[in-house]
Amino acid sequence: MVTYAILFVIIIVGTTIALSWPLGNYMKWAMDPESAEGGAARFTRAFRWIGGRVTRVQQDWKRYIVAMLIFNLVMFIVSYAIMALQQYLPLNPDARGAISADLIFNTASSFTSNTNLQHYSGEVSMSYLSQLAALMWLQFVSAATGIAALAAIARGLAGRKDLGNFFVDVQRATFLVLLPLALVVAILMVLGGLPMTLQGAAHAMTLEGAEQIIARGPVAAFVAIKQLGTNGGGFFGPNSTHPFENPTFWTNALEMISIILIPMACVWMFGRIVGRTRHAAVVFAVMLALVLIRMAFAVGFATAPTEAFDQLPIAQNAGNLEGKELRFGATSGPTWAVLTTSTSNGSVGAMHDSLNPLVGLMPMIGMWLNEDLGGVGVGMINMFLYIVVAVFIAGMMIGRTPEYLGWRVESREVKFAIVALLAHGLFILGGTAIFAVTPWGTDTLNNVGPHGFSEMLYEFSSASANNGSGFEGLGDNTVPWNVSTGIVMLLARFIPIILPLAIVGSLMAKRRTAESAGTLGVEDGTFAGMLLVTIVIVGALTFFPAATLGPVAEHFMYMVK
Amino acid sequence: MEGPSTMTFVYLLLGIAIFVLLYLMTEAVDRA
Repeated sequence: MVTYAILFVIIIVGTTIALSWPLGNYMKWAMDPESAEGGAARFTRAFRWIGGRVTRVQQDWKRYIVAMLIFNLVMFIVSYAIMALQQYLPLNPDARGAISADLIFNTASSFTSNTNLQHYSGEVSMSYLSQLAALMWLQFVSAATGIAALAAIARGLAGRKDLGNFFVDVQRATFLVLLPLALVVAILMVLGGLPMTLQGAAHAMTLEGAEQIIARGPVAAFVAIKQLGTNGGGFFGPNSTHPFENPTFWTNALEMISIILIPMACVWMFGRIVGRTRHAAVVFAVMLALVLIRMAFAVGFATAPTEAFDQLPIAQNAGNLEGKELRFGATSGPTWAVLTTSTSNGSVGAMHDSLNPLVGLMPMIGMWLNEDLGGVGVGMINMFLYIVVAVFIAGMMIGRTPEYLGWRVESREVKFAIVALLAHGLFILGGTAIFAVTPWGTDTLNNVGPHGFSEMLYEFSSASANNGSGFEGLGDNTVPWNVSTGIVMLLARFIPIILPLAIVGSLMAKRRTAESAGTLGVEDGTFAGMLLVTIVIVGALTFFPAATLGPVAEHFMYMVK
Repeated sequence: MEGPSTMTFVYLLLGIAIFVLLYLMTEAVDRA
């Protein structure tokens, strides 16, 4: 069991690492063309021609943010309108009706923010037009927003005069990175057995003479960008546990690779743009260490015999199979749970509510730290916030001026970084605290005690980390849940993009100094250790008390007798 | 078929208000 899990992880993670390097180089070519000639520059000219005047100006950090906010607001309104009017619009072969207003708000916020938290089941609520023109469209452009923001931050740190143009960057990311990759993955998915049709549900007659309605649709296209763009929103309610979203071992492996591929490549793209590949390798190693540590614990806790199961007539050596896809075994679900929360993906390959308590803690830790790979583009941006803090602390500890890539880090930048990091904790812990003591939360639980607390903690963690996975066991399609998580998703999406861009703007206003023997190195093991310790300490100080009230308490109450 | 309700517009305005808030935050950060 454990040997199989280790081999599986090595194949998935190893393959993705190998693919991420060439993809990172390609993304550098696509997002940051070096010369005014050549293929990428020709695309840039085409995007400027399409986009008109607003795409021809170079933007500073503030203009870049304003462009990003306007673009995302328009996306929000358009997708909101499509869902609100879906009963009157075409591509609705199964006659899906109106959706409640608070659910539309939650869903539009969720897909605009690249979260894909779903308080609905796609196959019973959404028309094909809503699925494709509202949700799948947002899966492309919300992911493109993250890649664009990372490219802008990297350009600033590289010492360019301006950050580029958001509207050009978002087109580059959509048409040169996400669309070609999604086409390839979608074709592989179709070959793997996923449906791809605009026909309505199939009607079948069972052997007993009953009519069975089998939902289907353009699933392969949806699943491809769902995984590649760290979106995670499933075409069907059960997400990647549904046999039409994930039919075989090969689609299971392909989807896992797709979940972490672009977040990994983003680190290399960042390194190539700032011209510091060795630094990118150090950051990559730190991220990978965090992922592998969590994965080892998740698989270990999922397969270890427990005293609570001792008295039950079950084979302990098979691991905890409740809520798992038996096709894939006991370890695939926890492995997926870690990968989907190491990025901001949020698709699920098992019922997270059924994970052993300490296994369930692992995806939560991933969402709390929010940068061990992280979302497309934004994972590296979150890591940049930790780097600013780590550089500052290390500089203070050894009596050197805190500098990052030649930029002097001072109190203003550190304050912005800390505010962005603490906002994440505030959204999660504040939201959970309010819902834990009011009927908004307590009336929606399927479990009491620590497990019920974990359900609420997970929901706010998922919303704030823009992850979108659900612990489930929670009646979350209520007005309080829809409104609160909708607000959290939008704020938690854009605050950690706005503040890093502001930090870069602040750094760019200073004179860049040449690195010397006195400069704090960011390309060695010492810095990697410092960064790792910073992440763990900030994460532990913020979230450990909540973890003890939820999964840790549940482990000691029920798993150890 | 049931059409959009008043609440549909209220929640749309809420979404727009969040983006306005984020813009105001950007202005505040610029001045900080």
